[in-house]
Amino acid sequence: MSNNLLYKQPKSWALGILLLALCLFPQVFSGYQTSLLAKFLVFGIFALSLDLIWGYSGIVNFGHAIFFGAGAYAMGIALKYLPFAGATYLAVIFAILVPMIIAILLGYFLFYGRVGGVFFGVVTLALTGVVQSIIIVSSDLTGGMNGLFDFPPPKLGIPGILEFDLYSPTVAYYTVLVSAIGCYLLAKYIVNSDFGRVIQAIREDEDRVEFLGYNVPFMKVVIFAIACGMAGFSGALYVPLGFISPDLLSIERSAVVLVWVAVGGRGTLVGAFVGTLVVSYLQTFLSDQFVVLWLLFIGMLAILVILIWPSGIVGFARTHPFKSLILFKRS
Amino acid sequence: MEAIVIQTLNGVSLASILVLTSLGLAVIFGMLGVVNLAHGELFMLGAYAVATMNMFGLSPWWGLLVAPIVVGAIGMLMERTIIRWLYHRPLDTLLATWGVSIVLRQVVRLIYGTGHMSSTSLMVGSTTVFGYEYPIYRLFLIGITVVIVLVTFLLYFKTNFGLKIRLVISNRSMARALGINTSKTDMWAFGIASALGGLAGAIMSPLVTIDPEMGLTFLAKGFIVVIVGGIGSLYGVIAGGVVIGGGEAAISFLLRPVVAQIIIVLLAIVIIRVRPKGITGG
Amino acid sequence: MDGLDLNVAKGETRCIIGPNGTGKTTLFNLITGRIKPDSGEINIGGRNVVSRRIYEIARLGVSRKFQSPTIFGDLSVEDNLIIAAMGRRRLNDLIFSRRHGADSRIEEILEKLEFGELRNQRSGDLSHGQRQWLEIGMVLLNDPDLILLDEPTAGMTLAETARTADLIRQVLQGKTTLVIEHDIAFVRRLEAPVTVLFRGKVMREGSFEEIAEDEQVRRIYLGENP
Repeated sequence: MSNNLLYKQPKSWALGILLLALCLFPQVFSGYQTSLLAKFLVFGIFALSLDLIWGYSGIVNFGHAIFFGAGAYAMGIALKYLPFAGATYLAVIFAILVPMIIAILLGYFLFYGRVGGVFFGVVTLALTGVVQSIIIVSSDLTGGMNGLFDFPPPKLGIPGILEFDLYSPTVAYYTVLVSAIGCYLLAKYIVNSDFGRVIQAIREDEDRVEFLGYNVPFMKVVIFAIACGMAGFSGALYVPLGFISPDLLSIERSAVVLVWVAVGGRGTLVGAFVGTLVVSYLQTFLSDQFVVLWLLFIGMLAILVILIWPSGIVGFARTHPFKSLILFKRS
Repeated sequence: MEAIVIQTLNGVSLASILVLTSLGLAVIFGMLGVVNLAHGELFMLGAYAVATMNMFGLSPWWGLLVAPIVVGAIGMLMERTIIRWLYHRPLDTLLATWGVSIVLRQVVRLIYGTGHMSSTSLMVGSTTVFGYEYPIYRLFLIGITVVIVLVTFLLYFKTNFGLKIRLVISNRSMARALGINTSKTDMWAFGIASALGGLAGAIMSPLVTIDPEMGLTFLAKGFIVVIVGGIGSLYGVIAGGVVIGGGEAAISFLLRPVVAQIIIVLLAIVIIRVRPKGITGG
Repeated sequence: MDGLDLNVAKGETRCIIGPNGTGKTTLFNLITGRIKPDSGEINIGGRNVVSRRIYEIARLGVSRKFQSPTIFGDLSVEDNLIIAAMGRRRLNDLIFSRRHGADSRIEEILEKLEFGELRNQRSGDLSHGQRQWLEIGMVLLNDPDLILLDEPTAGMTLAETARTADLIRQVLQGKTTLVIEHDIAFVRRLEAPVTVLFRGKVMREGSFEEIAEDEQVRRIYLGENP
């Protein structure tokens, strides 16, 4: 995006060190730490997908966890019913397509029905409960309240010759790392393309964009489908790192991902990862017994960030050159 | 015949519940352009007010009195500290009120624990309607909804305060030029709408499980009523409540309640596509 | 608006004047599809567009400049122009940023507007006049057959107004254009035929000189009934 020239891009050597550190992480830290970071990077992809729609297109989704959960469930169900070698690849494709189709249907009804802005958020919120109910009701397929667990472990590599079990923390970690970088580059490409420009213009003034000859609802459906496909992909990556249960689609998860993006900085892409890692590592300091306090903190964080610090960590770093002289340069 | 009468009454009382819960939402949106995602929690607080009175051995009627006052005050506080800084940023208001809803839920958890509370019914027993037995409280519910709606309409269309509100809605800067303290009107409107939410929760308390999560269900339904009925109009709330409530009662008669609720939300999404401005909008 | 009958020939620039509330902006809203007429026809290049959506009408070649400058303030000047230039392209061209010659047209406009140094500027930071010119540039890049300009000089200084008139005469040469304007000096400078609207009807049509001498027109501008 050419207007990003107003900001500062990170120096390449800083990026190199960061990449090296991420690559060496499993060699230095324990398996527990490795899978923890892998999990947080998965959440980072999930947050990135939300930033694409929220930060860039002004579509706020209070049920984004629906698409994360749909991806995880699609992955698990596909693994269960496709018990042959190489099924993992098909399962991942399935995990991207199912959320995309849900997104296209929802987008068709809402964007073409001109339900935009705040009311789109509200409908997605209502939908969360519905989708959770559907999962619980159709327990034959999804395992209902107990969750889905009796599926063969996902494997990568060449079936029958060289297989990697995704349940190994190292394999999972590197898979997630490559995916995270891939998703980031894809997102960056999208927002820097002419399509990305139009999407950002829609965020500012839908009407004006339409007067220039763009079919605005169609554009919104496209970006929404891409983002939800990415959310589904992150859900699929989560399968070897956690449990598939209706909890994945909870209102709390949808709320937390909003906070991750807001804290990191909306409309910055990289902020999605920064916010996710900062908030998630903070959470590890609080033991599970304090889940009530933790959510209280998340709620207050949401209010405070919106009121006091709407640009988030990355937005702040980009507009305050002195404090970030080491990491960012003018380009 | 009995089934038809009972189902019709169920439909009407369900519609009343929905109108009651959505009214405050519609007022806040229509006047301030704010979608208050904490409205479900205000509703929840209203129910807790009754449960608290019950805990101290007081009559639940006290709860009905206390709920709108306390919840209205909380709403005004919320407007002063958070909402008023965000009037020009609608998407951000959404997130901020969402934050408030989480905070309120967790505070209630900290004070009352995660389990559910109970409230004794305000009225017990049943009476005969067209020769059939029907719970008296549900009839009371229908009655009080009609009263609250009428009072809201009177307040809106007949009083000085309502006139001020309508002026602010139609032209904010003109209202200011005419010497109306719009900031103060905003605060009171938010307070009244919040009080409506609290009152709805108090009235509903004998019929539902009172727990910190209860607000979410009602919030989602309330918004669907508002959107389906026609955003920002008081008549829309009634139309939406009747359609959604009646529809849910009818479908529940044939299918499991969970399935009925799923169908209702999906149906609402289809209605939005067909009539983007709601059933009352042109 | 009632019983309006207006024909504009291809390649003609036409000024539309008339007192406030007479339906000039409503006319633009009708042409672009923002509002639908109760009855009647709107033909563009021989096609009736009444039942079409806003973006479809835009794709038929109608481009509009709004009364107050309507640009995308968070995006750069160049981004604004790119968005306008790509307005009638297909999705895959947008995703792969295939401009097909739009780049050279953007350069041309940047030069004509003398915006070379401002191209990476956040467009929301431009002055009022610059924003008006940017929007005129966007309208041109949208590659329209019919251009609608709603008060292109609103809020401009005298010098800016003069420059805008020259700009419009220069860049809109040979394009079918409707211009709504209040500024009589500006209308004179455009040297284009004038249509006077009054209460939703066409009252007079003619050259600037003819209109300026018309008794009836003078009277309505003085606020009397004809």
